Amino acid sequence: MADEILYGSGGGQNLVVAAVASQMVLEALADRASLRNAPQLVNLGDPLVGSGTQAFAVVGLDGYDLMSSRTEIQSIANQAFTSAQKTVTPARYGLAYSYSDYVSAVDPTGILSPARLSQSILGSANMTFTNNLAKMVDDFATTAGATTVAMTHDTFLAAQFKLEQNKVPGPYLCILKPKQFTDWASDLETRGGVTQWRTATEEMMIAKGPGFKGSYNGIDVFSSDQVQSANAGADWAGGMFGRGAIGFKELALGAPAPGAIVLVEAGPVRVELDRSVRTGETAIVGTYWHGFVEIEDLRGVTIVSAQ
Amino acid sequence: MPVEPAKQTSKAAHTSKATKGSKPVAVPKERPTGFPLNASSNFIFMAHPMRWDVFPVGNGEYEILPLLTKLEFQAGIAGVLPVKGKDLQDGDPSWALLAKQQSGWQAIPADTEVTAFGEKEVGYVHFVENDRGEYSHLSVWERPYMLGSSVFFDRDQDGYIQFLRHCKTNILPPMDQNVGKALQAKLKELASLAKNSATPRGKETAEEINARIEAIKKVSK
Repeated sequence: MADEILYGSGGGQNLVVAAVASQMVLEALADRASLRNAPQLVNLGDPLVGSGTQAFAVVGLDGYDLMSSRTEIQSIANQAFTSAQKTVTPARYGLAYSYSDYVSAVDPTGILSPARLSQSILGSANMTFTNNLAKMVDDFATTAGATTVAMTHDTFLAAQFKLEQNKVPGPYLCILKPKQFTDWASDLETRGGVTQWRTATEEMMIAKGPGFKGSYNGIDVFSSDQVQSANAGADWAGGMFGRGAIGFKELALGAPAPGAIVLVEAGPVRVELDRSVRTGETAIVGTYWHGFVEIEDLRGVTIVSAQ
Repeated sequence: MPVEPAKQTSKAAHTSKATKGSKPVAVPKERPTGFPLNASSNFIFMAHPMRWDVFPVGNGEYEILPLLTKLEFQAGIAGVLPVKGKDLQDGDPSWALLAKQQSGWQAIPADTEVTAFGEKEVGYVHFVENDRGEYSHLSVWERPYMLGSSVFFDRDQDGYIQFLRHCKTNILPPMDQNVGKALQAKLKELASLAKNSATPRGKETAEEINARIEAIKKVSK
C-alpha cells in the first residue's frame, strides 16, 4: 500500500496547520479577591486641595474623658483635650497594555480591545489596593500567634480577645494567608465541644477559594495571597482589626485634559486610550491614586504563624 | 537615617542542565527569566517594645527575640512619600519613619553587618529581578529558586536568629525595661495553646509550646 493520505504526510500535511487559535481564553491562576469595599476600612474621602497630603485629627471625645466629682461650689478645672494628627499621602499607581493594529485584527478572542483591557485594569487596581492593605496589617504593635507555630483556633481567639480587651468596636475583619487559614481550618476540624457544632465552623470548612471565607464570631474572615511574610520567610503575618485601625485615601483626578480619550472614569481609577497612528499601536493606560495610613494601632492585631 | 541601597543577587540560584542525548527544545525567545514574584520595595526593619516572640534556636532551645516588621519604601503606604522622577518603589520614608518612631518603633540600621548563608555582608536587604523586569526586595536570609514553574526559597534561619540576637544585644533598649507586659500576654496565649492538648494539633504542639513557656519564665523571673 502506498500514498495513504495521513495527518503528517501523503498530502495530508497541507490540509492541516499545527494548531488553530481558539476564541476561548481561560484566566491564569491568581488571587482576584478585593478588599476595597470592606466596611472595616475607613475611606478618608474628600478631594485633595492645596497639598498632596491630607491631615486629619483623631480626638478623644464622647466618653473618652470621665467627669470628676466636685463639691457644691468647687470650681471645675478644664480637661486636657486629647488629640493626634494623622496624615495620608496618595501615590500614583499605573498599568498599561499596548498592542498593534495588526495583532488586534487577527486576534480571534477579542480580548485585545479597549473595553476588555479596561475591565482588566480595574481588577488590577483592586488587587493593588489589597496588596498595599496587606502591607499595613503586618505592622500592628499587638501580635497574636507564635513564630514557626501553625495557626490554630486559639490564635484566632487570641487576636479577637486582644481587640476586645483593647476596647475596639466591631465589626472586625480578619485577613489571613491561605496557609494560615487552612492551618486554622485544620485545627477547627479536630475540635470537639461547642466548637464542632457551630454553624460558623461548618462555614469555614466549605471550600471557596481565596476571598471571603465566611464569618466566625461575627468576624469577617478573608484569605488573601497578598498577605506578607515575616521573620525571613519563616512565618506569615496576617491580621485582624476593627474599623478605625486603617484608613485609605483615594484621589479623583478631576476633569480630564482636552483631547483625552477616557475609557473608564471610576472615581479614583481612570483608564485612557493612547493612540499612536504613526506606529499603528494602541495603549490602554490605567492610573489609580491611593494611599494608606494606620489611624490607631491598638485597633489591630498582627497574626503571626508558620509558613 | 541613611538608607543603604539594596544589592542584587544572581537571578537564578538553581539552573537546569540538558540531559545527555536529549534533543534541544525550542524555547520562545522572550521567555521571562526572572522569578514569578510580586515587585516589592526596599525596606528597613523596625522593632517595637511590645513585639517579642519566643524563637526556636535549635537543639530544642528557645530564646526571646524581637519580632520585627518591615517598613517598605513604597510611596502611598504608611506615610511614605513619592519622589519626583522616581518609581513608587523608591519613595521617601522620612515621614513614615518619624510617625513610626512617635509610636514607639525603632529602626534597625540598614547597614547592619550580618551573616547570611555563611557569608558576612553589610546590609540585610537584597533584590532579585522578577519575571516582569521589576525588582523584588527580600531579606538576605531568603534566596528564591525555581522548581518547575513555582518559586521556592532557601532560608538561612540560623543567620536570621543571629541577626535578631545582634539587634537585641547591640541596637535595642535592654529587654527587661520593656518586655515584661508583652511576655506575660504571650505567656497566657501560649498557655491557652498548650491547654488544648486534647486535640491532635494540640498534642503535636503542646510539648514545643511548653518549652517556649519555660523560656519565657526564665527571663521573666
